[in-house]
Amino acid sequence: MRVTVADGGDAPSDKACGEGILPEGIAAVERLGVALDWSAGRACRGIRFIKGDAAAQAEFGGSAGLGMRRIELHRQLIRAAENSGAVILRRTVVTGIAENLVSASGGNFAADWIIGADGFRSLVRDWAGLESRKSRVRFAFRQHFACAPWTDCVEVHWAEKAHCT
Amino acid sequence: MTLGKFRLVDLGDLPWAKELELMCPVNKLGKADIYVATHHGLFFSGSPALVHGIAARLAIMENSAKKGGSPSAWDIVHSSPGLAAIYQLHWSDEGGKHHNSRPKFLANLAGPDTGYYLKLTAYPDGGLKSSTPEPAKLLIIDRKCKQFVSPTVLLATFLRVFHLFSTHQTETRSPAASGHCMNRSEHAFVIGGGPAGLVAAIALRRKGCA
Repeated sequence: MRVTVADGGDAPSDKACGEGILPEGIAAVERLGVALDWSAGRACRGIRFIKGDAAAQAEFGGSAGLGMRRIELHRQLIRAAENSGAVILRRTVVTGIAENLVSASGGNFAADWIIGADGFRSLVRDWAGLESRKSRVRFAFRQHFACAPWTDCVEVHWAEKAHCT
Repeated sequence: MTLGKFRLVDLGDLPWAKELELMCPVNKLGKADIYVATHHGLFFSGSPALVHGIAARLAIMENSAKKGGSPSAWDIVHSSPGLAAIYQLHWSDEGGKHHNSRPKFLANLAGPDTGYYLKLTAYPDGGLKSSTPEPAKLLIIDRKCKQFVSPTVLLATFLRVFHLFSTHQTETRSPAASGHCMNRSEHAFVIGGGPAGLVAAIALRRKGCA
């Protein structure tokens, strides 16, 4: 099957997110033949929730998760997608879909299958007339610090109206 | 043109005055199954006397985006008694939103020409089938956004949570339940180049089957 991926931005891209993959996610990509480079991240054995003096912790059941910068994960997946033979179009904004056509800034593309992978507030979902997934607005920030890890768990710190991972 | 009981009328570029000679005072053509819109659907062809007189079951308009497909000609065809649909070769820029058929009856949608054709199959008993290109199937990668593990959830579950949606169907359903496989000669277009789109692309390339 010929596969084309279109994205409006440059790659790899950064965003505010948890920056980790649980064991199920690692197994999912390994089933597709993608071997992630663990040296670019760090193994995690569990997750810990912390609020004030209280904490709850659970392990991943023997398998390790992988903590990794999102930009690095994106870089590795781009490489894997290109190696699989997919054509990746960057800076290509998709403006609409029709019955068998994708309209984009680079022209129209005939398609037998159209895959909407454009996130939680998916425009593809709207164009297709599927139920909308609008939700309240939240704000997120990311900041990275160069320091030695003090734990092998993902830590989620809760405050009154926010959390930090 | 006739094939047994099947009858198709295509009068080329005949203008209104010449069409009227065929229809008045007597309808010399009779009824037809298919009307190929005269002169690409330009306003000075396709008179009501002709179009309504032959009372075709389906009309085919061989228009381009910039030629033919005049709103007045389209209205005459659209109001023809007993007409089921107007198939158009292209979206008509002049026709705009109100004088074009729905996308399923257009071979080529608005925008650059995609070179699609219309196919009509006629049978001597008067039966016919007409079609536009097969509509694309749509998959939505539908992640449940857990704020601190979004890539994790997405990677772990993407094959299980996307929905199959065809523009000709109203329901959504799980591709796993449908057992729908993809043809190797088909083209899949992934909208979104984040981790979800990339993993979907790899899965489609490697497995080609939902």
